[in-house]
Amino acid sequence: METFELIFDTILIDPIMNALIILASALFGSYGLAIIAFTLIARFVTYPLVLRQLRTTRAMQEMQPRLQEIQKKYKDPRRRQQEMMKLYREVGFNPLGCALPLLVQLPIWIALYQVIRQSLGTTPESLFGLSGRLYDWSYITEAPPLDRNFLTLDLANPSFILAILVAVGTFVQQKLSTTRSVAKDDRQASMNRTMIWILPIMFGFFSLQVPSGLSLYWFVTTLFTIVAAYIYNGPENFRWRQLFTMEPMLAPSSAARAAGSGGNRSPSERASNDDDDKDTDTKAGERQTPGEPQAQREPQAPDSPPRRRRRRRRRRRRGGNQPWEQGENRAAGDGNS
Amino acid sequence: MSSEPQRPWFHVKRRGRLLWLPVIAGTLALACQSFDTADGWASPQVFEDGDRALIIHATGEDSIVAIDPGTGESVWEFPDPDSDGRFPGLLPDIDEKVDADSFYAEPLLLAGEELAVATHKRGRVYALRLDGTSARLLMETGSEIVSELNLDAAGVLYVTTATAGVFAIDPARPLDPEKPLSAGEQPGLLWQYSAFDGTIWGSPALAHTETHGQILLVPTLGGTLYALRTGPASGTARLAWTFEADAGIGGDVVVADGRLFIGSFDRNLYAIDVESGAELWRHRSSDWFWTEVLVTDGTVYAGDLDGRVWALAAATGAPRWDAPYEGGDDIRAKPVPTADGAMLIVVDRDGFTHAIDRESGSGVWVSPADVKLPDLFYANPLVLGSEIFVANEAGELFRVSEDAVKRFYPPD
Repeated sequence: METFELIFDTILIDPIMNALIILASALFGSYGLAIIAFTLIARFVTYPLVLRQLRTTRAMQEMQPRLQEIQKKYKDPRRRQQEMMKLYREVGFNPLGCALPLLVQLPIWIALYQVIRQSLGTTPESLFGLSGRLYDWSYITEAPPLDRNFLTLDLANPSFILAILVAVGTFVQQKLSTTRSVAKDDRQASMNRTMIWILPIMFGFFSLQVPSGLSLYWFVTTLFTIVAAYIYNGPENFRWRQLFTMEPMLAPSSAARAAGSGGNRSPSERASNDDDDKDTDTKAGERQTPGEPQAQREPQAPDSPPRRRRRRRRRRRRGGNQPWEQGENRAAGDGNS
Repeated sequence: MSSEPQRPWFHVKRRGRLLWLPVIAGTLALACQSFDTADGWASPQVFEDGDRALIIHATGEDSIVAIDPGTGESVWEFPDPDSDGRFPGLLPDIDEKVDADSFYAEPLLLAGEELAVATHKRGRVYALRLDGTSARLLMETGSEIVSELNLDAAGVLYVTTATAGVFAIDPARPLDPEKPLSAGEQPGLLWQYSAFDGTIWGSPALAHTETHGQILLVPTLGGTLYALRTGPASGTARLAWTFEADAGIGGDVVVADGRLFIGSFDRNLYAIDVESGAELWRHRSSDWFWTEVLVTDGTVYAGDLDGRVWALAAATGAPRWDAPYEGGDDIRAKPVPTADGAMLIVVDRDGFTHAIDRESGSGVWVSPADVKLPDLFYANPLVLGSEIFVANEAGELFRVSEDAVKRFYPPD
């Protein structure tokens, strides 16, 4: 246990502690600004994981028509499950893509809690332990004690305002990562609906128990993820009005557009590879089953720009290029209901 | 023929999918449980009550206990754990119950056989009769108290709080039991001064100067040392001078021979002229000074958070020993001389007691290395005749000698 603590201290707590003190000294002595800067740096460093999370969310969104189809087609639960798993494998969907960023953040949260507690010195004893953790550089060693106040917040104590902001931010993030359910009375749908509320309440509650500096980190992290999702999916696919309904916030047109131009790529990636899409479309079209219900795979987005709609119609005429179509054709051939 | 569908490795059964929520919640709750307990580091003191001596000690149960030095038995405890927080003499209208709280400030002897004690969290100051028969509330400051109390020759008690500044109170002004206090009324308050640049955890000291009369020297974590004129006739405090260190000051101010000595988080031990606030000398170490120095026979003894003990000439800051004593873990506790003055007793944070030769700085003995005492040690050791007592953060008191360590309070 002591070895684990030593490793945790050396790898996480001490570097974060010193980094925050350097940032605070550089940012006019403001520990609040240091936490914000640290959060942004941490998020940029772990951006591949954020991207993975966004891709997984969109893959889930894109799979929904296919999942609905499987639900309708296979009444036997075991067979249905089998087909769903097959679909997951085919499109490369991994539920851990959503959970991994959260798991990676857990040790950072715990380390940051310890760092804030010690570096802000909520008690004389906690500040006492700080001196042994500082790197031997006068810029760092002479910085403490740090200013606990940021705007109107005492960063060493819980803040009700930040707890609300964290809860609201987590709610929006949950709404963004929740896809349209396969069936509304399904247990999965029920779980999704529950999760939308449980996580914000849980994080809001935690924010009332921990220093508001940690809540500030949570809030900025959430904000970063929301902005990243906004940029990644494109502003036109955000349906802000759905924030207050049980419908997902990401418009289905995003799935259609992504599918039409090839898998889990960002809009910029798709734009740069437009020529490649034509080849892909043709090949996919060759595999297309004639009787396939197109509308389920590619729901029409009512708010799509005309040019995009035209392109989509062209693709439909040629045939879909969904990455799972091959699997779907096989599944249709197996039909057991 | 039916076979179980092959599921990918990441598949979790539906009913188990919500399980990760309590797992994360539990992990966070465990990791973020409140370690921020302010246990207090008030040092044990000895007072004479008539013909008997009492060790006054802050316990781990957030109370003050009077201990018989011969037996280690408790004579009285405040608040009394058997009386549901009630204590004789306290005015019910002001303070029906005495909340348990930790203590950083050492008890201070007032006139009339009373001890002034200051609670940490609620910032209350009580006057306890030394025989433990009654107590009265002197002041509720509303701010945490970490600093020591100060009493001047005129009987004015200075209560320095962490964030609400300094309160000068008259401890003799009696409260009228027939007249309930209105909200915010502070019957003994003479003045309050709060224009400081940071939290105050270091302990102030009183000094007498020719230029300013009596001054109270208050260090702050903002890195400023304030000299406040506190003459009884002034009616309030006025700023005499300030001194800026390069970092926060958490140590206690000590005044001797017209100089004050204070350690800082900038790793310097400063000697400052009390008349003008001018720096006389500074001595740099490899870590913070967060201690109360001992000044005796023209020498300043101070421990630092690198586990070193220094001996410096009070007049010049020149080292008196060939090399500092290497003590081990961080040292916050003040070095205390033995009864014959030949050795210094120093306790480090890990609870090891070091006896150092005062002349040479060499170690004479260290408490047995195989006895690792529980918890951390910040309080000053108590030397009572030939016996040495050290107290840990949990309020346990140990009797230490060269070859044995035995728990003294609470008794086994």
